[in-house]
Amino acid sequence: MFVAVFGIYPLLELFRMSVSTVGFANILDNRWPFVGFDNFSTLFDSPTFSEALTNTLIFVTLVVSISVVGGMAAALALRAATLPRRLTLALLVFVWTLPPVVSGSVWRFLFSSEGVVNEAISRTHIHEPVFWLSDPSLSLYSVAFVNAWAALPFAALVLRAGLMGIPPQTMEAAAVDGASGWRTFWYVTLPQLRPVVLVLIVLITVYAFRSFDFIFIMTLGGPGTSSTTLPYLAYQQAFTLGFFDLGAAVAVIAGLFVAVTAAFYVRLTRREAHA
Amino acid sequence: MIGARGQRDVFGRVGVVVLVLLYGVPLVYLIATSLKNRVQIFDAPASLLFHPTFSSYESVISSDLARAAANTAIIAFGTTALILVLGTPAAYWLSRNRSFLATVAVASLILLQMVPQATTVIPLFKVMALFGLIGQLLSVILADASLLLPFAVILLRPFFDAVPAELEEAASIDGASRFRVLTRIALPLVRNGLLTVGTLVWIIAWGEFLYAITFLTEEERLPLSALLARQISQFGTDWGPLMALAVLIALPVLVVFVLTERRLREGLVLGAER
Repeated sequence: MFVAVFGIYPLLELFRMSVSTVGFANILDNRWPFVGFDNFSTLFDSPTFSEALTNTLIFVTLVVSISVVGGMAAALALRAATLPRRLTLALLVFVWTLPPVVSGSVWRFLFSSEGVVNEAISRTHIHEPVFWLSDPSLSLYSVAFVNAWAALPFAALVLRAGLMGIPPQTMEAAAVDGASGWRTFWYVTLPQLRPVVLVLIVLITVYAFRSFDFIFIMTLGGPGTSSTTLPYLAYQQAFTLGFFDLGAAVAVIAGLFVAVTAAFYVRLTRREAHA
Repeated sequence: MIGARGQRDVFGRVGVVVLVLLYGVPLVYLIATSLKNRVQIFDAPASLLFHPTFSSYESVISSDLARAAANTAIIAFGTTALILVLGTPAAYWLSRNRSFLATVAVASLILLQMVPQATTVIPLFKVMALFGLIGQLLSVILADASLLLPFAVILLRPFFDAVPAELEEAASIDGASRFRVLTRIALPLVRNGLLTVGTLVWIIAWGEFLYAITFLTEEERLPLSALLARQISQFGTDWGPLMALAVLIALPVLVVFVLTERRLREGLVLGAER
């Protein structure tokens, strides 16, 4: 019942909004003027929308690849259960539990024009100060980096659990056969981790696609629209500019992306359950 | 071999150092900056040798802050309670029922769990306005619960799967009602699951700010997270007080983390395996 009222009903309303004209003035009316797919064609004609779409794809690709590859490296480095490694793992998990508003604020300070990273750069004279968040050609990448940083502990944790599940004999056998570390990883470890890695990629794709918090805190989607992704654009259209209809249309498109990824996920987990 | 024991594990050692730097340094600067005054931050933001001062904390701590903290606590505990009350029977039912309907329900929960928050906030604003809840903490609790309920149910269900059905059958033969079977037999056995899910939900609700800044119109209703999010995204320059506020938001999370670290780790891994 609760899911129906606060989960499914809002989605139906969202769809209805996306094919109507809705602003702050008539949001509470029961009937909205029906306009068919006008909102969608407005979007498809707008450069902001296509920029947000490109930004989203870049953003998701970066977050997923950095956090999964980095998470794999971290999982391998932290596999042994020695005290320093257990403490490092605990540090990572703690950072993962920090609210995004906290870690986003810290990174905004570190990356700000007068912040820590720039002071370090100017002290060592390697470069001019870099405007990580206020340079339109960099802001998207900076926020993506921080988002990957925030997702990496989760990836490391899941992959580490996966590594623990591999019988040690298989790797010892490879070592006896004279395989190098890299070859053992590539031909023995990685294939066994395949299902874990696939599920992880899907989960982090969805996570990155949903991302809103870090963008809001660090750049507000800017400068201009340089770090605006689809969910951020949806929010901005609706609540900053008051175009609930356009925001809803962006949201519907974003929802379709998620649905496709989710379907992929359900198939993956299903196949594993049967295997 | 990568990550092997013994002397040759250079990769592992380098990895530990890199990770400690990447994840430790931001925390160090979070705390250091909160203990500097404005001049110290302006002159040498990267310096870690300084005379600590509590001036930032003094400027942040006020009765307004206490009210915001109370709002945060109401939202976090309210959401957790609501989720456990609604999610437990739902997870139980989905665990015991393998019909087509239950399969469809699980699939749609997975789907719902993945819908971006920034998109659900748009129609939820209308729903909350319809119920006259805009501006009230209850709207944030309901919205947070709707955001996290699918996740909670999916995470809880396998814990119920592990409860042997024979145990429950024996109880119902003895004449116990469905409700009694759930509360007296199954619930004590899934205590760990409830604690894990409760902790995760609490942590997320504690830091959530999007619903809060959207639904809560008056300043005095805002939780801590929304206060920080608004100040940093709009004026973010007075770093000392901002970092002090961030530390204060993080402290309760640290306490919960220390109390539940092990369980949390297992819960996270389990969540990914669902």
